[in-house]
Amino acid sequence: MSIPEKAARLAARTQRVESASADAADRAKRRGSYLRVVPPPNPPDRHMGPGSITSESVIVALNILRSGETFEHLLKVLNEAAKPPKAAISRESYSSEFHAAMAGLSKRGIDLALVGQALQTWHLFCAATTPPEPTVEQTADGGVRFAWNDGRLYLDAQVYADGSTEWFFKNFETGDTDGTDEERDTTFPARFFELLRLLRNRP
Amino acid sequence: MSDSELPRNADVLRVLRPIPLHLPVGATKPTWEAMNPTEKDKLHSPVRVSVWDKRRTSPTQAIELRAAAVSNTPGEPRELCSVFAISVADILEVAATYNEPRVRVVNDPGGLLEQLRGMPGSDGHSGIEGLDRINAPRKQWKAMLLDIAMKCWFVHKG
Repeated sequence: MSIPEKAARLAARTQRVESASADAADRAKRRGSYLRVVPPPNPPDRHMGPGSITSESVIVALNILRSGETFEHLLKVLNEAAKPPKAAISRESYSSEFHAAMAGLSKRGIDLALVGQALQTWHLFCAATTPPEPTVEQTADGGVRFAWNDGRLYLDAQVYADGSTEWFFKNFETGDTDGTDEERDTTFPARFFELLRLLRNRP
Repeated sequence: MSDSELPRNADVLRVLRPIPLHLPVGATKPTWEAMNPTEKDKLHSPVRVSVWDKRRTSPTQAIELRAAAVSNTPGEPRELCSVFAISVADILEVAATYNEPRVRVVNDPGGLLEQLRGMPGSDGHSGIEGLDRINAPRKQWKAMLLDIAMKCWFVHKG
């Protein structure tokens, strides 16, 4: 089962997610690191039984919670994820250039820690939604950037080897901008995922 | 020639490397990163993003000059480079929108690499100042670079 499918299934089980995620969040808070709760309670993929969630789901949930959003907002995000997109995009629909770019990250002499962060970030996006195909490239300041530009909306996300992140959004039609203002963060806020879904659902 | 400002009705050329960071595959506009000063650009004070005055440098010459400038850099075949143009007026109008008075476009004969001197079109070397981020909020700075990039139009492929 693909990660987007897992996310959709997860979202469809909101009540179970609520109890499971709350428990995971509590554990994360007590232990001071969300990474320690990443190992899922059951082997992933095969046991989506009552009360169980996958490692990717935990990462998404805790990143959203860690960004300062309320738990209600997390549920809203998950419910949104359960809605079928206007035009479903399967993982297979990504171009060979995209797959080559992702696979090629580790072949370009890029720090393995950065490659790991980039892959984890992509999985994070896929767990929250089915992103449109981005361009992927190493940035001039030593990060990896995922960028989307459909001519009307622009969105990018950058990750760095130390786990820090920044993002940027511009709506060319309205002039609205959003994104990281000063200091980089360690997570992407719910607003970023909303924009990612907005891009996905554009006709 | 001094570093005089180019007139508003002038167009400048920007040669882009064949990498998605500057021009994603299939894209018709450069990315904001294509307007982001490189580490080499930042060695100059004030920081200048290298462009070519279209009145003095043709797109083909711009490609040749770029190829000569990076002749020691492997993996950048000139036939894959792209040339985009942008008007000085558009650059200044975008900068005004973001209240960035440092932005100006100037002749930059002093910034020309030694090996390029005397080459056809080399006297058109110019620079866009004020594109480096100093105090502006990160998203405001990126938005300005993106708006400038979106004003560019494609003119030539190497």
